[in-house]
Amino acid sequence: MTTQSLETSRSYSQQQKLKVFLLLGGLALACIASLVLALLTGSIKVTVGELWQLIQFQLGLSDQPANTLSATVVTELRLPRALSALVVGAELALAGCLMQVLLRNPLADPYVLGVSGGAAVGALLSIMAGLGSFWVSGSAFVGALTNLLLVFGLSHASGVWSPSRLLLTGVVTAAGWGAIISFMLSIGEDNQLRGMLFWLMGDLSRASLPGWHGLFLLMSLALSALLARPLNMMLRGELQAKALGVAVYPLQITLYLLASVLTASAVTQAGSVGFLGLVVPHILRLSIGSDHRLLLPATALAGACLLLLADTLARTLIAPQQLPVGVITAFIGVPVFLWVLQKSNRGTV
Amino acid sequence: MNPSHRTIRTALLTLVIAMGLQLSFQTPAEAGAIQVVDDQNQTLTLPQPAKRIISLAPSVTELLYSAGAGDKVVAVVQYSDFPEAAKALPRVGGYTQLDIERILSLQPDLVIGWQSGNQPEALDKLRQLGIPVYITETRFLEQIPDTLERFGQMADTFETAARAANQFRSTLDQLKNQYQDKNTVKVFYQVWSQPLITINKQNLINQVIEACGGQNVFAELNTIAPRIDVEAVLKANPDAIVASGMGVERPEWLDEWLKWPSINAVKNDQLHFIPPGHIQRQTVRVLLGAERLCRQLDQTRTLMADSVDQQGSAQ
Amino acid sequence: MTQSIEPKTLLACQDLTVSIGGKTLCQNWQLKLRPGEIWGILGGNGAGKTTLLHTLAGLREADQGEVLLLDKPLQQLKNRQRAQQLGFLLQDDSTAFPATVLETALQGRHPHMGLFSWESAEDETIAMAALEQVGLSDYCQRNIDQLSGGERQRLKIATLMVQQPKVWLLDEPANHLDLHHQVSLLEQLIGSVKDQSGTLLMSLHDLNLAQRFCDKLILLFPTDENGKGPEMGDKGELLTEEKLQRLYQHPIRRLETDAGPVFIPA
Repeated sequence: MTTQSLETSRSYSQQQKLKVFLLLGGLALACIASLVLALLTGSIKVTVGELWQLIQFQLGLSDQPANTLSATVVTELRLPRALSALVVGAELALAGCLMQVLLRNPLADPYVLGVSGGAAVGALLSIMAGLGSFWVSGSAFVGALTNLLLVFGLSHASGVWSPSRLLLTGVVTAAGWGAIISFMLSIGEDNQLRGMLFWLMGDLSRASLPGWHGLFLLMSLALSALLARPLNMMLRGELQAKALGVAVYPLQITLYLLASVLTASAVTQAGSVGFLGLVVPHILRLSIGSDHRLLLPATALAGACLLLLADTLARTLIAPQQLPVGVITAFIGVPVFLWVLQKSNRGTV
Repeated sequence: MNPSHRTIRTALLTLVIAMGLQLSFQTPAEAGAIQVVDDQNQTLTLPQPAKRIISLAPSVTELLYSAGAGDKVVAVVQYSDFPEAAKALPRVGGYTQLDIERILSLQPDLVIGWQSGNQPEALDKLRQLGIPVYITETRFLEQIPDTLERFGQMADTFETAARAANQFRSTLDQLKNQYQDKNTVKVFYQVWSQPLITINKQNLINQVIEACGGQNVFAELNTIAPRIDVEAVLKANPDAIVASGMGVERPEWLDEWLKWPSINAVKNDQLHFIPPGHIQRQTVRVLLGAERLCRQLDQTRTLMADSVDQQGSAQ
Repeated sequence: MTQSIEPKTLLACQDLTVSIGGKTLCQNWQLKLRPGEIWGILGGNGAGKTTLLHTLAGLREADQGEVLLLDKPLQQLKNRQRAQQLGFLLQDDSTAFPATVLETALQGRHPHMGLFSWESAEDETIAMAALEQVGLSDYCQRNIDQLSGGERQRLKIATLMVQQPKVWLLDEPANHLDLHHQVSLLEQLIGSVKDQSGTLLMSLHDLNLAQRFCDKLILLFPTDENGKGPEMGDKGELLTEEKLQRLYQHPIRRLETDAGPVFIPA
């Protein structure tokens, strides 16, 4: 035993706390920077001065309203979309992270248990019935909840319950939804097809102010802070966690419900935006380790930031034409993930 | 499927192939033979006028009826809803998913396909099975009367077809003479709301807009049906917004533009609706849409002139 | 550790019946682990050593009867309360997700920490001391999947030491360990168990380790039609050629040497 290693280890908890502070602070700043960028870019030119004027006016610091068109564009179009992107990104990344621990499978993503499939069937039914966007979102949410109950019930049906059973049930249910979606796409009318495919690809252009979704995200973050240390125990296996005093079954149920409802909320707002929920937790696991007290909030912030950046690129890269945001998340996420994986000395994912 | 069915189907297939082979041995010079060139520049020879035609696109069905060949159509694809008579015809699947066996069993002597709608493999398959396949692809308004005439040739209803074609040409010319060179109106054509989709200059609708003296604000984009965002429309600031939606009714989403009074079209209440059947299908009815659009844009033009006058008089 | 109110029994079984896959391991069993006692479980493959240990640790439900931890039924204790008094060394572990050696050892503090609290400097001292005891203190920032099988086993033992339980249940602690570590680690473990007036029960494959370290033994004989199954008692009574032969279904020789009896398969 050398004195050096004792010293480095002595500062472990201070190190951790410093890491938390720096990392979360840095990510929060990145989110704010992305938000400003998102508010400034688009077809209509909005200058930093105009934005500043608008912020001052909105905060009641100034009586001088900004240029009306840029002001409306920022408050009516860009801000709701940007806030939605933040909320959806955070929800998906958080749900992915929780799902990976629940299923003890690094390949798990928020959609693996069929939540998005159920939501898609709900949304597509509404689109086929020619209903408005309120109904489309509503039925997407109902579809997601249906899946939640269905998978939960089926995986409990035989009395024996395990994450691998849950995973199998979920994957097969998701495949079932997939078949229904294909069927609906094959009988859909041309004009409806466009809306249906668009929904399936995931997009934020129809998003409005996140409202209760945002509130739900904050509540989930608070709850996940409670779950963080037991989740660390779960990484070493269910029995080990139980031996160390974790109430494993209640924790698994909580994880399942939380991850599913987070996904449902995200999908309801933006359709199935892919990739984010798989890659963001991994990038962070590889770069900061698996302490969920740090990982969960960091994942949420990084997911929020990444989706907002991706969405800003999606709507401006070849403007006025729009790209599906999922394409951009993959374009950013894949190289970043591979780079982190190459650099990582933490080995196994 | 029971064995006897399979035998029957095999026998039928052989029969059809044999018929195809027989066809290909006949020389074009033979009396009564008809030769036409389709939109893919392929020469098609029919030994005699077609009597059993299958249409593989809703627009083709409509053009066949306009060409006077309606009573020779034995089957159509889904969504062939015009004219009324077409609705009663047997279906051979959707245009992207054709039921080849059903087509064979109806023993057509001519199948008319649609290049950008049908799967090329399916059309090739039909050709291999010896069925004459004519392929349409309408890129210009002027192609519509030409296609009518060729349909008339193939179905031996040339007189009716030529009459319809000439009427189309003269109406189109008349519209162009009346409106094409008037003051330009900036038009945003909205195909759909979620996602927000418009058209570029390659689209037939663009030609209708230009014939009416309008200018499509997104004509220069790269794809034929580009997805855009609301901001792009705000920036383009069109004088008129034209939408079709899905059915015969004005889509509700057209009124969502009312939130944006900075757009000239909204300010002057120039949100126009044209039923999709009158403008999105490449058929004779496109003239109905064209006439309507020309009137609508002319109304916009008048309003614009008025407001310019007002501004002028105010100064 | 003060000796003021020393409980007479740390872990007890009352009328315990455990079965797995239709096979009864024990029927209406009574067992008492008292402070300072070191117990061993011996039995062939599939005899049910792990199942029995899991039941005693509350990781698995008993068919009948109950297990008492410090006189309280296990079923009535919260997971956390149980883990403060009872530690368990599992046979296998998982490294599906990355973690460092120190992070893993610190997990032993979990049952002693509040919901929101972070590991204190004291927790760290405990963890570092345990890592030092198992000879892993130089590796504390290393990722666990870079450890060898033996090092990982030592890390698991360190985590258990960090947990500081009263009752130690170990499923094959000698697994993956070389000769030196088998002896020195068990010596240290047993030393600290005795220092804290705890008790230890471990399953072993090596009869010589059992002879060397255990005071009392459980021989997991299969339960016969008369309900007669496992035997327990002092090691002197149980470590006979006859009994061991019956236990392993293999002839075994007991040789008396200067260093005490030695067992070899014949």
